[in-house]
Amino acid sequence: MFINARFRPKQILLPAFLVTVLFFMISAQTFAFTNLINRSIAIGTAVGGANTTHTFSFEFPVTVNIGSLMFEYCTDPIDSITCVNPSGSDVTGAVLDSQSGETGFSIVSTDQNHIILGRPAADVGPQTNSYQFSNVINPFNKGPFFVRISAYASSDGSGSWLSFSSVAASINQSININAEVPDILYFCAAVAIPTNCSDATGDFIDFGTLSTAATRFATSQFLVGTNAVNGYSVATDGPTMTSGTDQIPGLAAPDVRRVGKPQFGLNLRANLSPLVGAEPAGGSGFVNANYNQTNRYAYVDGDVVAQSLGRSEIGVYTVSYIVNINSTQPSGVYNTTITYVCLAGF
Amino acid sequence: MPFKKPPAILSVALLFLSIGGHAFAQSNGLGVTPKQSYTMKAGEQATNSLFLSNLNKTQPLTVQITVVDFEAQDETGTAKLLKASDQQQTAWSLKPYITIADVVNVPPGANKQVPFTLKLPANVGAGTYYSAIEYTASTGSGQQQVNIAASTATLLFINVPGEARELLTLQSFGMTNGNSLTSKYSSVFHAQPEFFAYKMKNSGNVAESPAGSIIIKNIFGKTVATIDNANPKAQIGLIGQTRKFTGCNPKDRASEKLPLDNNCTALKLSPGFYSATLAILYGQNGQPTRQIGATAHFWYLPWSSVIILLIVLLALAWVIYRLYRRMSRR
Repeated sequence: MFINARFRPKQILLPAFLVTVLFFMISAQTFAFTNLINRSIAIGTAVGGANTTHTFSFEFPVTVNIGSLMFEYCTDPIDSITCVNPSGSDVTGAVLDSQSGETGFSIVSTDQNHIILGRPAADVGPQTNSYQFSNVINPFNKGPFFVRISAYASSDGSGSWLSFSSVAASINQSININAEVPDILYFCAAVAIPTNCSDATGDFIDFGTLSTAATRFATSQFLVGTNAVNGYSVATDGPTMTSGTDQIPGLAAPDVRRVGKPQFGLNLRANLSPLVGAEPAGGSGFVNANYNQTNRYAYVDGDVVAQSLGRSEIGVYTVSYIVNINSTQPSGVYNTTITYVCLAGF
Repeated sequence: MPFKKPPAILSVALLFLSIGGHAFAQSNGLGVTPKQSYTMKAGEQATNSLFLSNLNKTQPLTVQITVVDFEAQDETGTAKLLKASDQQQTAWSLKPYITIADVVNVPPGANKQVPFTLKLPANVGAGTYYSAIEYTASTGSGQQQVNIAASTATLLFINVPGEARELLTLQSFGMTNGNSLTSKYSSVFHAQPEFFAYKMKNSGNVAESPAGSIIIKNIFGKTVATIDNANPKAQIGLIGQTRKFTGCNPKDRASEKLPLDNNCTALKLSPGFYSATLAILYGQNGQPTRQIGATAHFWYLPWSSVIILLIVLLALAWVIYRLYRRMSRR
């Protein structure tokens, strides 16, 4: 059987293109709903578990016929995500204290995380609407929570919403602060820290007699750890080695040691050239790039040398220092104080 | 180490020290509260205290306390103390409003509460004010030494409610190939994606900690995954900072587990094309809630599916070629 199958590419490609575009249109949807505008929530007391007032304010963007409002307490603001009540939050006993703007509402129903206000449906006007509830129990835990506000034509919150938005609120203090483990940042710095800050020894470094024929080197250590979730950073604070107006220049970019060239630098690695230093031990922090290269040293006052992006057990970093001079280095007594500054992340 | 007398015609720098330094007469081991936030109204006065611990069980700790302004070091949550001698006071400085001791002594192994008083004038504007309370351990210094010193700080934030200027602007959003400092946005993943990031410019006068969620949809618009908390560590965007907020798909959605770095797990996606939609809300208590949304698209193409796709395309090309040859002969 002969089939006259003339191949016309355009007949295949054009429909395929249109179908593809349709798929992308479906997949590229964003939130296409009517937002409430100028919306806010004011919490009387932002303490976890407190019995307090919640006052909502918002405006309708367009004129719609509204019979009911729903206030739904959730851990996230997006309507397509299943609402989970924030732990401890309870609005079952909510009382409508006052209303302004669109009025005539009364409480139709409440449960643990829903308040539904209803009235005979009426057109809404361009104005600020405000509803204050008392006898509302805050979520227990410190941090944000959301209330999804939706407006309906029905008088009991049934059917599809006509307007929807979320408001964000925050609890500043958990219900039981005595049961919380407080955040602590631990830190010490010394020439040597054999085990912990109690046996730290040495608060100055000796490079001996500087020479144009050999690199001088030494080490110090710092210990750091924290249970704060945003971790820590450790930065240097202090100029390079200075005698009056003369300096041994700090290495602005990582470089190898160069005997006979003026250099002051450090890193936080175990090195072979010269044989000095040790790898970081313990903790979950890391050394920053410029100070993390074996046999290469740098020193810029104020640089962050190590950090952790999250909680970290105690870790000990060993700082390796090198000093070189040239034959024209002015004589004098060169010194500096390097303060290691440890700060929490935020 | 023998002293080497330099030649008379050369100048050589000399540095005199005894090797290793002496044992500490003072501790420099500090345990402090890393960050503290309060809400205070204009005109209010409050007294509170900060935790300070001497980590050395044998030596006393003498700490010099200084109020120092700080700013963001970069787009991460790393603070930078502003200590230059000519440093101007920041617009958000707590220096005018805080009173705290200059020096505190802590016995070996002991903890201490360091009291401080905050007094806000009645006309102070709404917004966030912050400074660092820096504790510098005093271990002595000498003229002929390179001294090693330790300092740490409590980052102190005060939120003053009212009609503050709040404005976050989204700069970028997407799924990323990791959660390190060098992680980048990616639109093609060969392993299941796990991490996300977004950058926000804070042009207001409130230090913002935005909150929100992310939903992942497939090419047909069906939601296949949700990340309920888009700021699990309550990271803060300082005034004037462009901050990179990061997070991941959590393994355990309990609130106490969300901020932990070891609580991340890969999404469970089938190979294909996806959209990630971010919805962020922010606003002080009683102030308008502002919402920012963004959508990023990405492909999940494990190498196995890439190979299969290549084979299918090659087979299809071969079939088309054979059909074309057959029709050409006719």
